[in-house]
Amino acid sequence: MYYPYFRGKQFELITIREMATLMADNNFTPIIEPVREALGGLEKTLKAICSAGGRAIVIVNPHHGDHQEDGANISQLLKDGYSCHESIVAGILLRSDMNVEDVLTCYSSHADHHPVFIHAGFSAPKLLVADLASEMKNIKNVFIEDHAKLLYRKHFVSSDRVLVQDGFNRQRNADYPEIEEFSDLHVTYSDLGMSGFGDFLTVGDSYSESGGPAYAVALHLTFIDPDQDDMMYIYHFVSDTKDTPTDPAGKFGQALDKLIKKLNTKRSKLLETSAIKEFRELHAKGHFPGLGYVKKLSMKHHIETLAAYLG
Amino acid sequence: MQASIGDVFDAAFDTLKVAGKRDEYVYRTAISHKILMGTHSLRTASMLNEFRAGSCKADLVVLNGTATVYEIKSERDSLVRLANQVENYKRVFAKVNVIASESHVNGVLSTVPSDVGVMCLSKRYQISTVREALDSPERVCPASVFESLRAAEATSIIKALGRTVPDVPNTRRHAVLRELFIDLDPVSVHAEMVRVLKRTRNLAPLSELVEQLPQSLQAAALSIPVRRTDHDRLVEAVRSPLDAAMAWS
Repeated sequence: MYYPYFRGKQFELITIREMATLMADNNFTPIIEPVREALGGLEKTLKAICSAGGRAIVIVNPHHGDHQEDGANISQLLKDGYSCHESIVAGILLRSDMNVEDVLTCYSSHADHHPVFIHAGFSAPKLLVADLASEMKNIKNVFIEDHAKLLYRKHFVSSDRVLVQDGFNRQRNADYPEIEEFSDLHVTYSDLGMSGFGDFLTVGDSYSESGGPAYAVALHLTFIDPDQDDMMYIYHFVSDTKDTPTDPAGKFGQALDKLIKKLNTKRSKLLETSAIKEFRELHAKGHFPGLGYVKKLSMKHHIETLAAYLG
Repeated sequence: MQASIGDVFDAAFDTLKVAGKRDEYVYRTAISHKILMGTHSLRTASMLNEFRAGSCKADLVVLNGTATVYEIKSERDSLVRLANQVENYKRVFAKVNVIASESHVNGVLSTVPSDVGVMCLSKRYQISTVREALDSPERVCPASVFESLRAAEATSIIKALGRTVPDVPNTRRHAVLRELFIDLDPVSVHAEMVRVLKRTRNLAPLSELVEQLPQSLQAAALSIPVRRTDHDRLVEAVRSPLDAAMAWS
């Protein structure tokens, strides 16, 4: 039912591995867009998903990162096989620069891997549906909300549909409000005729190869508010020091202080997840584990929060 | 003989070098060739590019026995920020120079204090000294120096000056180092800073690459990081004949 969309950088892949069992138990299916040339981390991640009895969608024609010219190595990785062949499926991104023929070629070359369509800017839905005719009802269609609006999605009404919406409003770290709305799709997806929903976690859809030096450090943590019809909100705890690119550890300490202070009010509505426990431990030790690790905790907290709500 | 990619860069540089059109890169090249590699060498001196100093970034810093900053004011630049830049540099480096086009020299002289050196890149691409910079390490501000350095560099300066760094959690580390650092003697801090930076930002490993590149690309090679494994590919690329390069995609 929940389809978190990950760009497969190091800490995204680690997050998926560490969450593999929880996601499998809750019927969550990560969508993974590989962005790094080396596929060892991806392979390890897929193995972890398989042994947890989970599922994943692996994008074979990434839009971002090292495989954007050619996804052949990803296709090969899928072909080389997994014991759980059925549960790791190929995701085909349908982008604005593709025509129906491109889509069909990619579809047939991955036919063994139960391809899923991920609509991300493609502009000929009618032709595609006509060409695939009866097969379409057996194909899962994932829509990236910004690129696939209601009228577009209507073409696929007979198939299994998933809506992915970027709830994360990316800004400069120094500019985040303390709290803002994240998404209500976890409540409303079935009303929209969808069998599932997704998001870009607490990272967002916008892709960057690497962060520059951080003038501010921000912790992004989501919560579901039962007093607001279960709407999901996000807190941004931002360091006070924002005018130099130095001392990320000290800035993390400042942001973490704000999180712990909010938790101690007992009115934060943040779920006491394993990630929150780890933030408490880091606060007690005064330890900064690195920005990638902090991003991992933020993603884990988000997944755990949705698992508790949907489970 | 057939022109190479390198020849094209040299030809472009010659166009850029004409007084009146020169940009920052021409000045950077002049300092790299005539001071860093002329007066000094890559084995004995080092250079920092875009080095943070207070709220500014220093164009070029040459480290030999002392640290000398060169602020470039080409004919394309304005002098609006100069007074503030110079103030910031004086808190970090013992010698501050402004190198300017002939058209800017008078403006620079009336903007900067008398301990700041003024140089001129002439129409004939010669550097002349209008006024010598004073070497005054005693005016540097340890707190400003600290903010310019990496944590490991600051730590080795503190240790070299005989202080012990207590073992604290890493979220507290920067604050603790800073407290120790701001108490140090400015002259000693400056001398140690020069020594540490010459080690941590050493350019000697680049000398082989620089020697193999055309003149026009040498200053770029000293400031733009190129992976070691790509050095040979870069050299090979600039040596390729132009018509072969036209077919590159």
